[in-house]
Amino acid sequence: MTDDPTGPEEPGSSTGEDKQRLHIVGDEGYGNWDEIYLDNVVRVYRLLFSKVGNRHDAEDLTTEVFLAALGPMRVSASRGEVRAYLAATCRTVLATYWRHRLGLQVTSIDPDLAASYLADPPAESDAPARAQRLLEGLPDRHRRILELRFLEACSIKEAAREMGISVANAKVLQHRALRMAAAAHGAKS
Amino acid sequence: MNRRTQRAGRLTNALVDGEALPAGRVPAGRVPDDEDLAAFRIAIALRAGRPAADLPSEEFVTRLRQELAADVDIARRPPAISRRTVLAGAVAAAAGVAGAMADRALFQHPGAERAVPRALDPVQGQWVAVASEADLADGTAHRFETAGLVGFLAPAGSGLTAVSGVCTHQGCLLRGIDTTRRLECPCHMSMFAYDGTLVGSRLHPSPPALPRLQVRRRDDGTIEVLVPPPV
Repeated sequence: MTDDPTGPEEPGSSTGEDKQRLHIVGDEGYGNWDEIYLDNVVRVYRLLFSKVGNRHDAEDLTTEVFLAALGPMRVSASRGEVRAYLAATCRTVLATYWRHRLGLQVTSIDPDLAASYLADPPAESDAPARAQRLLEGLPDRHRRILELRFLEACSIKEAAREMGISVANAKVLQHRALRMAAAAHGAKS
Repeated sequence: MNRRTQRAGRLTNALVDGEALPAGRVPAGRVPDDEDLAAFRIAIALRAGRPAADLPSEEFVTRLRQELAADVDIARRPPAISRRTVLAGAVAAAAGVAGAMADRALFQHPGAERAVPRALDPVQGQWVAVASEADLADGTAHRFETAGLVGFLAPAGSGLTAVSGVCTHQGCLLRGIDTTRRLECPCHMSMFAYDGTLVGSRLHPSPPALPRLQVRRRDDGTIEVLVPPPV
């Protein structure tokens, strides 16, 4: 999805070498389900969080992934197979989530992205850098409201106070700023 | 601010305030249009960009670990309530979101279905042999069919349970999942425990528990079920 700002910025942009690195995984497996869980829960959570943007849903979807995957997955599978299976389950779980909530796919998981999140070591999240890029080029006040609200976790009241505007103005400004950022992002793709 | 701005803002504000999306399916009239959708995607990307926000809490990791450990062990502990209910409730409590439990669209709560399922008691029932003890040796459910019904037998403690093998939602035939010891409906993925209790469902309202069947074991190891006369 080229206009998904949570997806890779250029689909398939990994170099051939990167792709190879992502896919070489250890042959050894896990001893039991608990090991599978402990080794992968943070990876799965981070991947899902980057796609839903809030803790509650990331937790619910992480739970869903492990509940769904535990049944069909063989403990004897190799680490690579387990991670590939978890990645595929994440994709399905996310797609189902959006379908049930909104009837359309807001964000989706690209297989290469999933692989990078589940790799050894897992990819550093580029979400903070990406967020900064989304904000670049916005007029100062529009950028500021989005920084305060999304990156600094201010309530709408706090943000309004910080900027010296009314709450109503802050809401409108936030709405417009998001639209502006969306248009700018869309124009780049 | 016009109504459309308000509606679009509702999704985004829930997100940025750290809440999940408003629970349940967004009504058709409120599904975001393309521009709102684009803005919502930006909101997710920004929210996900909050420094160090993407790590799960220790509490969540531990709790899910315990639930999964119990799940793998379910032959010895048939759930009285669904684990998803427990987990969703705990997550909601931890997040301080009051009353969210009842509305979580991903995890249905059986509510009244937690009651013990009633046993089928046909007026002209017949005891029919459907399996032998050997069929239950591995601890997983054994599917049987008679001319009058389909069902699943399973060991339960020192005894046996038998339940109808038809989903109580729309009548699809259930399939047994040996690895998790569940009966699963292929139509809408509702899941039942071997004793017929609903374990998880995305349906509104939840399907009722599976009817139980009366079952007995004969001296020679044959297992019989009380079934309706042939159709």
